[in-house]
Amino acid sequence: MKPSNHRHEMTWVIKLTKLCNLRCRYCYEYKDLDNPARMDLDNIRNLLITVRDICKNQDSDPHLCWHGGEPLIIPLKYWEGVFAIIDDVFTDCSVKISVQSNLYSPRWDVVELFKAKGVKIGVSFDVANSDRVQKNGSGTEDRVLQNLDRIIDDPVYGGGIAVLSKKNINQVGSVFQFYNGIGASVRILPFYRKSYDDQKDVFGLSQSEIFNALESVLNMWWQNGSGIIIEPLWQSMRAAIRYSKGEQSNNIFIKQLRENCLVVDTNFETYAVGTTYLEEYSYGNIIEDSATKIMDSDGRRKAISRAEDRMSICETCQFWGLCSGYALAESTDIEMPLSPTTLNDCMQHRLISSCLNLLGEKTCSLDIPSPTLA
Amino acid sequence: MKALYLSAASTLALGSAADGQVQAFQAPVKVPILETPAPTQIAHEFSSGELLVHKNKISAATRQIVETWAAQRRNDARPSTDPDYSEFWVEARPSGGLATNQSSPDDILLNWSRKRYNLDVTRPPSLPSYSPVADDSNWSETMYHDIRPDGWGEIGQGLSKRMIPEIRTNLTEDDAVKRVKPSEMFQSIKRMKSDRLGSLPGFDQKTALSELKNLKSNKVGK
Repeated sequence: MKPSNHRHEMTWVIKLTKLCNLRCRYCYEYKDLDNPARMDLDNIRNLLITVRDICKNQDSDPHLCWHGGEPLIIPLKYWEGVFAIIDDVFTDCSVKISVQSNLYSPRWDVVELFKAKGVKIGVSFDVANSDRVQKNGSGTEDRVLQNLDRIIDDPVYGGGIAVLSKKNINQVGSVFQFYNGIGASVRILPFYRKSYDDQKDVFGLSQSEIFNALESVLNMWWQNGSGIIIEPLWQSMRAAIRYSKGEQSNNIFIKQLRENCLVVDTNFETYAVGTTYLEEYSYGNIIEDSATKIMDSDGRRKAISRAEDRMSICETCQFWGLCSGYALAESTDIEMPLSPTTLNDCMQHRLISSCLNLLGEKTCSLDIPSPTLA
Repeated sequence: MKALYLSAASTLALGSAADGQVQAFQAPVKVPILETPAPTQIAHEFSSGELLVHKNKISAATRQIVETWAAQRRNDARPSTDPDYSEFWVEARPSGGLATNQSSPDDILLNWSRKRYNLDVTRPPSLPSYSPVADDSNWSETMYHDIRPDGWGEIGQGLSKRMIPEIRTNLTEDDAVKRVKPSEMFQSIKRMKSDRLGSLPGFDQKTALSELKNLKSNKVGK
């Protein structure tokens, strides 16, 4: 096998604005979707300089994921300014850039700019969901599909995200069918963060509901997959294959050493994924604080401790190293209210076990210890 | 008795190196070449479970060894195309002994192996066979190695055809999947009478269950 020369990639989810043209009822930004505030370009420069410094210290290349709100309603001139800053700041490392959009009414001149810059547009489209609505409550599907038709075969299209909630979980088969049919990879994302109190009651899912849905998709994928990649199942399948082959790996998420993904709010407060918007876990303000201060902050220490607690069961897991533990470490309190106590609490462990069953692997059992040392 | 496995966890943060970057190393172990500190001290740290990855609980003695290795690595001028040999691991054995994938600092430079072997505190272990393994922290670069048809036999061939876009170009006409426009696909789904598993177009539950049964019996194949 050829040795890999790649560098670690550190993703930055940057909330340019919360303003959105839709009012999806499960959105974790719901309360702020009419807020027109937007990061100004001077501050974006300061933000990206700190991003660059942190990535350098973590021996990582940055992946900038512009997020909202809806980034594609922001005018072209603003985006041109953003790319000028990117070119200016990141002179000695490669930068991956993506945007997450609802694709309801994108500015096509901005899409053209993204094409020219090699940006990927991830499109949020749930297939089966009546809660992705306009301000007046009417549906959005027809228009989004029309726009999706327009970019589906262009390299600018970066795949889909489909949110799974209590209201559409019984239609998860449609989600698979749709993305499988159009040949587009998708991340199936169970509802994981709330904006208001009732939201979790209306949309939240239990661990078993999520597992059953994902396992159903796994079986459909195995049976009828058209070549698409489905996350998080692909990571599970990959770990299962390597486990079956008796491979060892030390691919472990150690948050203290290397962050995988941070979220920057519109006010520049910075968080880990699992603790986004939780004040006590804030790493600080990324345009006011230095890279060192951000990474040495009390909020980060707390977030590290929280992640470690969640990963405490990983030491007993036979898949550890093949699975990095990242998903468990950065799970939100909605996904995982308390630290897991057994491997059965870990979604990835259960999914990898399901993949092993598909592969015909017999040795996977919660009661079987790690492979015997040679 | 359940073994205490620390291998994947046993990573240490060494603070700031000269270049300002945090270096990560997995703990070295029983090193005849390095005579101090006593291997038993290191063994105690691991076998007692005191060395917790994330807590960085480690004695000055063990740290000294790690830093020696770290320094050696920093001074090494091998081309960047070499495997990243910054990862090595150690495991505590139920018997109280240790296992690692590296036998000495020199071996870090010579070997990149995931092979496990026991450490005898009185004799250096045999050298592992050279078997580089790519770091998979960025799975997108390496995933295709895992399920190449030639590397995984019949299951891999079936799996690859279904799951890997890059291999779709190798599909036969029978295997090829026709891509449908999103709007057409959506309308097709909307027309379905029922949207439950097993009633989806193209998803024959009976056939699927039969195939799964075969798969679980290791009777894969078309």
